[in-house]
Amino acid sequence: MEIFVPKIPFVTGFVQAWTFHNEDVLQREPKQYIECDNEIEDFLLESIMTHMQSSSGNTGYELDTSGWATNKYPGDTNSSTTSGDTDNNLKDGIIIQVDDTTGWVKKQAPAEGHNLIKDFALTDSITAQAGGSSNIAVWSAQAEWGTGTSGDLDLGADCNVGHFYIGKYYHCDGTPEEGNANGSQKRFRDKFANTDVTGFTLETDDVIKLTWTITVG
Amino acid sequence: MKDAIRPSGKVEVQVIKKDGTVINHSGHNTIHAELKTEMAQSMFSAQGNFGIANSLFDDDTFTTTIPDNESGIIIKDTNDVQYQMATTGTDLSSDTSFTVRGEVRNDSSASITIAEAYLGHDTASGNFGVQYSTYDFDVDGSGDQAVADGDQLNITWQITIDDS
Repeated sequence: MEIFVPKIPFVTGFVQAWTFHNEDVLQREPKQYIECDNEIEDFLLESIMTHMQSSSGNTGYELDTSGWATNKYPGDTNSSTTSGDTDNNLKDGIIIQVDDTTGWVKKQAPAEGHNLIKDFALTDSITAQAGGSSNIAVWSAQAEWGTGTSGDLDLGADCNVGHFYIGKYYHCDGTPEEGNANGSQKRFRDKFANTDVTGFTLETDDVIKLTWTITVG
Repeated sequence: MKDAIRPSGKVEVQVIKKDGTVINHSGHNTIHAELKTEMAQSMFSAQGNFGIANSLFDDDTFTTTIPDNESGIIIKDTNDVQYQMATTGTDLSSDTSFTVRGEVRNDSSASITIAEAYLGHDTASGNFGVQYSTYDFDVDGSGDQAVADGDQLNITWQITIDDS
């Protein structure tokens, strides 16, 4: 019997998150800090492998800074009678899921009502680059959980953070993610990674900063 | 939780002797830093092609000629002489793995002893632009592999990305 003992270079990811008071512009005194493992998504695995099998052509799955979301709150559908897209439609980046409503979209059939969105996009100080070594990819971004409105929604109240997502082509259009009839939002079409978060909160005017590191080791 | 992408490589070596005897051994490879770099950088910026199927080697005569701009498997003997292996993709359609196969026949009068094999993309002056991995024929303790006149050497190289 043959026994293979593969030599494994593995890709690991982890997320660091800080919150700061918005007047702490030098970010010297974090109010909170957490560090999480993450779950690498199949899209990223398969995209890399597909390219490794290819005979020509550049890679095309990168998450750079060119298509990053520009709206902290995803907004709502313009039409009150038909399903539609948010203001962050097909944008990239890092999304924080909170327990406060940040937008809404009509469901496909008007009679079915709305899908409420509880996503907060990090839109400022965006970087996507190598880490301390060439085999490390690091993305970083931040945003202020400030007060505001979106339609009838009051935004920016104290809330709990439930999840971090990183990926490309944000798309919440009122239809549930394929295979999830309970109505989970699609979020990113091209999913890179995600992680659960517990015991992390946002207070009004907090600045939250995330650094997402994926290492091929 | 899937918290890691685990690209790994395994190599199966087969020698079909002139008298029909078949020798098999296998082991792990070492993934090269160049591949790790390409993988990491492709996640945050577009990279040029580093695919393995980029114009595969096609000479199975134990030639020392390593053409430029080709990919596949190169073997090196104990005197550091390199040879290309005719390389074919036997499975380039999986979501999580691919397999390439190298083949070479010794029709010379001398035995050639192979010490190492390399898998990579896009040669220039005998070196890969992106080296995927290296295999040491003595990794399993069986020693370097002699390929005598009339013998055929086959290598099957599988690269896999697992999620656990």
